[in-house]
Amino acid sequence: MNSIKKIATTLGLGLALTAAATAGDAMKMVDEAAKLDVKKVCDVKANGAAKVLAVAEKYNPAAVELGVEFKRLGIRNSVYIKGLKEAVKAKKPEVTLKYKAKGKEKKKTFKTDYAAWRACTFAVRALQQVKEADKTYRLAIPGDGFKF
Amino acid sequence: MQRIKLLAMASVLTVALSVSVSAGNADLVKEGEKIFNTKKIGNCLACHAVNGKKINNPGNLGPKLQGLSAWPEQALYDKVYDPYATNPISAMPPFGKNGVLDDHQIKAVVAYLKTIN
Amino acid sequence: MKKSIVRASVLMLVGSVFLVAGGYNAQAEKDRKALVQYMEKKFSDPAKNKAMFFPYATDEDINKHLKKGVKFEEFRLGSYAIDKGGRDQYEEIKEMPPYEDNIDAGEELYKKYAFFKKCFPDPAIAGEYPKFDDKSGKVVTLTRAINQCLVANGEKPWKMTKGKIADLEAYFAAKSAEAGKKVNIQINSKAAADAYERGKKEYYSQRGYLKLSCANCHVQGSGNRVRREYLSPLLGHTTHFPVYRLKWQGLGTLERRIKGCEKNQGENPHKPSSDWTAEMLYFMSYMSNGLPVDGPDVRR
Repeated sequence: MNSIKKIATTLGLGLALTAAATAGDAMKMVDEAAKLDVKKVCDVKANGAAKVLAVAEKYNPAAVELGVEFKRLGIRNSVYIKGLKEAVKAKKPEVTLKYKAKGKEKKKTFKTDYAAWRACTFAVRALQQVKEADKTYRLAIPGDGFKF
Repeated sequence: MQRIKLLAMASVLTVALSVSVSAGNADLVKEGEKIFNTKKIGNCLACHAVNGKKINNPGNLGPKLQGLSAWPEQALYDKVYDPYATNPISAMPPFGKNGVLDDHQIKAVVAYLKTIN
Repeated sequence: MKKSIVRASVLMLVGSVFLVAGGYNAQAEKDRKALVQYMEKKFSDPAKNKAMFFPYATDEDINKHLKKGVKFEEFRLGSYAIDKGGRDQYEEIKEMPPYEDNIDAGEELYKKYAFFKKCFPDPAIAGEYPKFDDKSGKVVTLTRAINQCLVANGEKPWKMTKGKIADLEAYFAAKSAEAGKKVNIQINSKAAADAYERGKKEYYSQRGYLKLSCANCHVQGSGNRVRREYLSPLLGHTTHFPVYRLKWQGLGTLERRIKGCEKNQGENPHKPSSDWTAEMLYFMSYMSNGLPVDGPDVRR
């Protein structure tokens, strides 16, 4: 009985520590993203699609972790990123994204450069908005920052 | 004789260029109008009515747009790109900054907005 | 002058009912009263207050649609409290409500599984949820409570957004409305107050690629229109669930509705089973304290 308890406590602690670690990692990404100029960093003409996609890949996982991942017209940013990996590597001018909406399989084609810019912007901005909301949310609360 | 020929060529070129620019501009305006009125692109009509134009059931969360032809193009561009300069909790999305409309699409919207009196 | 004294004393009465021992809900009460004050002021006279609350409303909005002098209890009707045109349609549909079968189905479920009577001896409890469970340190919505009851009795949990769970909630809501119950959310510990504050922060935070907070549409934006839809106010938002939405052609829980809102903000929705969702609903429900429990009901 005692050994089972020991294992359970260790496992529980381990899980808690992992959760804390990933949450801590996500907040590190938030702090990093806050310093970025999203227009510069996601500029495909200046940096090339590969570099821009790399930025998206770096920051979007933290957005997913924090529950702030962007989703537009049925397509999550992770789906953009997944589809772009192959298209950018193979230097294809267009990328077709497959996604599910309302239980049906759907497809949408984008110019690769456009999709890369969007994926990068969506990833960085999702994290930047976490910090921005910290500063602005009270301005909207009646009885707090919102006067009427 | 040479000078007159040169002058004639220059004026033909200028006319040709200005025609192509305004014809190009007409296309840009049309593209901007489409972005404005299409739910899956800009969806501006969700919140904005437009003075002098027939918009299909516009919302009233934002002002009815008027007199924008007098705005500098850069000011219109900046507003659509990121409207938070004046109101930090604005209900208007930062279409450019948040990756909804790219540089070309915003320029098209601006071209359309410039036709609003 | 007299009117405002009467109103102030009514507010104080309504307010004082909710100051519990320990005062853990003191901040929540301040927030709630301020929200009620805002909504009552806003919808007392849209024509007069147009510049402040409805700056871009058209003449048609002011003269034909926006209702004047909306009373506290009426806010449970959502946009039908504030939009005269929508109200007429709503009254028509209420003559033959589409959720009657759901209530019956819910009652059947309550009878079929004997353990439901143990977990919920009194079915008229819809207005008491979400609750905060100090033992687990989590907010427990009615949906979560039903699933906890199922799992504790050897059953698999039900889907949290529609189907059987919505039917059972319809039965609980109908019994609560029948008994004249009011929304009565409690905050009885520091941990509960912290959960409330987290839900509140999320409500007012701008999110998604559209950078919209819930408040952009349902506090500052309430009574204004997106296309032709009058945005419903936060006050009264949660009183009438589960809701039969014409758009869904079916019944859905609060958890189901919140997902749709998140999508409208341009964000991938949180899972209905998440603490995020539960805490958001805790905050929202507290804001409707004192309003009549009005579920199930029909909405667009």
